[in-house]
Amino acid sequence: MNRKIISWIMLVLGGIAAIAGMVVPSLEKRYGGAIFGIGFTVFFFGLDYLVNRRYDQKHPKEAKQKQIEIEDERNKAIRFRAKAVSGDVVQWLIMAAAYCNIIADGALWLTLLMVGIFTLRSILDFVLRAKYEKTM
Amino acid sequence: MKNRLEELRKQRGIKQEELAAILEVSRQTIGSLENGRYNPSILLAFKIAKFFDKSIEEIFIYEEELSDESKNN
Repeated sequence: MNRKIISWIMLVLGGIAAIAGMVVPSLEKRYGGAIFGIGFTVFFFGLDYLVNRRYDQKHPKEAKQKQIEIEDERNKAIRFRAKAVSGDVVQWLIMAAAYCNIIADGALWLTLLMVGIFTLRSILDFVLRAKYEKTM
Repeated sequence: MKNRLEELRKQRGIKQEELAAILEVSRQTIGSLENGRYNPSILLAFKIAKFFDKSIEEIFIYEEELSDESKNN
């Protein structure tokens, strides 16, 4: 199934979910809000792809330049480095937030969730390094 | 890594944007290569060498060679 069809499906389903989240009376407010949020996000992912694709078709030179900028090795290195550093920073901020939650006598599940996210990130890091060691 | 990229590009009379388009990289990459802030991948180094019809060693000067040259002089 090509990306264009997937984007149209996202647009339609996301839009339906967003509307359903807002108008269906039997849905609890929190579930309605979550469905609206997810639907809205999916809708805009689909719309973003379709709009950009249309623009690229009308402006092929700009589209080619955009593709060159995306594939450019220096730009890729910059993006990956920025993602890695920001991931590290956010990981430690989550741990700091967990401690703040403990000090503030917050909900235990929230502390455990944050510690879980911190641990998951470390595990993912380890697994991905092992994978890339073999493939690169 | 020092290189002769800027010198060779100017000899050919082409701008950074034109060289970037030929090599299919961004203009900023050419700029960073020329001022030594960025070292190219082996693939890009080969593309550059092929474009200028020179070997990689004739364009990119490995640091160790530079310090050896300064010792000999």
